[in-house]
Amino acid sequence: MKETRRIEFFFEIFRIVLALAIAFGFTFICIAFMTDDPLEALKAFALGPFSNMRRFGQMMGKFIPYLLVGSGMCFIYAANRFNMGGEGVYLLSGCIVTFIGVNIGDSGIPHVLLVVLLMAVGVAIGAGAGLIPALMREKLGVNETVISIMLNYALMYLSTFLVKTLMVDPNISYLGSKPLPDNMKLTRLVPRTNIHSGLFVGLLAVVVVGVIFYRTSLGYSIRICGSNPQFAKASGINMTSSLVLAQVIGLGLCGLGGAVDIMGIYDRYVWAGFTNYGFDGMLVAVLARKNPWLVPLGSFLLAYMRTGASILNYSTELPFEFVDIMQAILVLLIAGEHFMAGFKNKIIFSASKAKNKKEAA
Amino acid sequence: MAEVLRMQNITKIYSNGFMANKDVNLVVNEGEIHALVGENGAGKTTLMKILFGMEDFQGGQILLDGKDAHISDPLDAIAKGIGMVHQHFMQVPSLTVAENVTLGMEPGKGGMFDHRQAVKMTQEISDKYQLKVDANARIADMGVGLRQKVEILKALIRNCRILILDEPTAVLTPQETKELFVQLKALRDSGISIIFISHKLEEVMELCSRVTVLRAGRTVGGDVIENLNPASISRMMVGRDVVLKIEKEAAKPTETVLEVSGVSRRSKEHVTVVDDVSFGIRRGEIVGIAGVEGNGQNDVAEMIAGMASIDHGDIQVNGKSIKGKKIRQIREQGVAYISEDRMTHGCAANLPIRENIMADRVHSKEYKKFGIFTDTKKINQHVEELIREYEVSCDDASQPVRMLSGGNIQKVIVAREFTSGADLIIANQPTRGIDVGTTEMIRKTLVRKAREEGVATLLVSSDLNEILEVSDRLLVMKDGKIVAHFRDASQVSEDLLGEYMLGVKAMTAEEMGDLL
Repeated sequence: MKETRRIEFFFEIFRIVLALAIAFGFTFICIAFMTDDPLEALKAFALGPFSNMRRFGQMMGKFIPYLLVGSGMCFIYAANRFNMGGEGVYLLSGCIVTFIGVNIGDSGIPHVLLVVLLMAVGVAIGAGAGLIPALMREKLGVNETVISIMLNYALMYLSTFLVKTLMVDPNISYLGSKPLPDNMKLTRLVPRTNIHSGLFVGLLAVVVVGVIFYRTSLGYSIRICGSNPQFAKASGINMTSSLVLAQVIGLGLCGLGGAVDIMGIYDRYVWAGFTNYGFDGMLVAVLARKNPWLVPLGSFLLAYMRTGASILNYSTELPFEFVDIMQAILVLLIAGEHFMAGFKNKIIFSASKAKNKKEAA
Repeated sequence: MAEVLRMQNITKIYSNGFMANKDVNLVVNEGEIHALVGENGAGKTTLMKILFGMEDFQGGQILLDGKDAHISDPLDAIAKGIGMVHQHFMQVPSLTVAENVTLGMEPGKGGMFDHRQAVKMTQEISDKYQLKVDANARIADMGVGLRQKVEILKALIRNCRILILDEPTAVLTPQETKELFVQLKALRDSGISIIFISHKLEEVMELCSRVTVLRAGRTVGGDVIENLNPASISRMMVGRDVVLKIEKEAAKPTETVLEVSGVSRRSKEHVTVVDDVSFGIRRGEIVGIAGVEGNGQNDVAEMIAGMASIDHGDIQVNGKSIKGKKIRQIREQGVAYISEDRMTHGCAANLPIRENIMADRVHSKEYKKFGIFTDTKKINQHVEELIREYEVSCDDASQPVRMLSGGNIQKVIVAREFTSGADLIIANQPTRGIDVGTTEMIRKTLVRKAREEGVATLLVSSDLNEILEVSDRLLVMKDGKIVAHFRDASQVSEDLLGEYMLGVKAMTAEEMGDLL
């Protein structure tokens, strides 16, 4: 069977590379049709994110929260739950963190302590809100997808309500909170870019998640529950607690993502609708194939595509949304188990036949 | 007699690289009952699924009436005159027989279902072949034997010429089996060819005119029934002269480990599947439960393992009740369970061997470092040791279980359950569908665990050779009750056991004595 495993591994890589190639190829064809100067557009899209430090920073500004939401969604995916509450949690956590930061930021509390405290608040908000769909799913059997989508709206309007009633800055013409005190803002690693110290938090989170995943009994339990719940039950694994924890940890990380994002690049809380970071977390987890160690790669890929698209948006007449086409193709091809399966099977069959012939002879 | 079907050099490979059929040949003549025999896992069902268009195949050819036939899917197979009665019936319980039988070919006009016509068609076929089925009866109200007739009706009404029966007698009582045989012979005489899959050789001898034997995915022989006898067929099936003999000394049972007192259980359909069963197992002995499948043995095993609820009565392990306890607690109380369905309850196919072996023990302190982290080094050592000891053929511990063969998957499962430190091992069909080598290893290990480590063992098996060779004491279950108790399993013959299993004989309470 060694041969089979080698073939499967090879195909896993081949599939991803091919999916990327098809997605890029298709996008470039679209670009060529839609603009007068396709080469220029292509350059802006493919190389734009690396063309100067500011743009690179723009990409890193997306990369950092992707690390957090992506690794969080890995947990939820691995438990085979489709809890999409990350988006609402992201908003509420950013909102509450702003509220606390604005109120106590200038009270003389040391920067490091304040930042750590606010991050803890972000995690707590995420985990607390995550308990709602998790408990309803595991205790009452309510479909977690439906509940979490409804929860997203509830949390979004709750955040908007809080901004309007408690945090609104009357001196600006749009809806936003009072300005964040400098004391709660994360340090810029490169001045005048979006590269901030949240990067370390993101990378640390990936490591912590990887360790929980593969080096604790909780990680074992979650993966076994996700892979075959009946077997998990028969082996005496406490399914309710494993699955609730998977979702709580997952949404806790999404909450941390919201907090880090606000503290990293914003001057005030201004989110009036979905940021899509919570949903993007699911894309990252799909691109990383539920493996936390691949989350940085998936995050980078998505951040790169998104940044390229936004550069294209302001340097050409192409709309930002066209990147969704590319993203959709990529996710479909990577998540679709049957993509290339026929070809793979053919190779496995012939390997098996060859082996059988050798054994017979 | 004309040849109706020829399957030539059929090769089937599953997508995990496992070759289930290797150059298999099968020839069926018109108007004969042809037995396809082999042990579980020999590839019989796979071959029939290929014929019925349910599985694709990677090599070989199917000829119908001497002509190359491309069977693309079951609908195509039906159109070409092939019918199949599956082990699990494909029926809608809330509909009537006529509605089930005509499903997909409903009589009527303009989208309206002509119920009277459907009943008439169904009843005609039933009467013609004397299947004695009432076309107006609801499936949900019918017994298993009648429901099987409905499956046969479904094939007949579609004008099948080749009828495949996949282990039809596994779910039947002896009377029902007898009746089925009479009807099958009538079908044969009317010109229909029947492929009869079984591993019950006395049935094959009684019913069939020719036999094809499969072993480990290959055709190993075949002949007309006159040239064969049960011994010669079983020789071909297992590939050796004698059935597996297990050498073991007499049991010296000591204190009671398992005590089952008066348990009953009703199924989801409110049928009593276990009816006031009491018995006990003591340290160092192996107690077997024999019975035709579906007579409650599986339910008893699942109740003790905590997988099924106990409606009445009580089960005690090591003197403490397990009623209402979580499976983790039951396991901690000293129970290990080898489940009948290895892919559903025995493993997580997509996860590595390591995770599958650690599933029940990763929470124990023994494999932890600093209280929270798993001790990777120790885990790897433990898993590799078990892979070596149980001779699991694999690349390494991180290979996903789904890539292993059936026998090797079972080795992973028994490696886990045999080493969980249990006082009671429940082995539910532990060797079903796996190769002879692994079977022998598992049986010998069961005996060794009982003798050397004093484990109390409950063996549930429909393999008579296994249950007679491995057990010390033997219970027989029929219709959810214990109907026989043999103090010394080695003194029991397969024939005698068969009579109790089929309900021809039953012991009184006095004859059975104390079941402890």
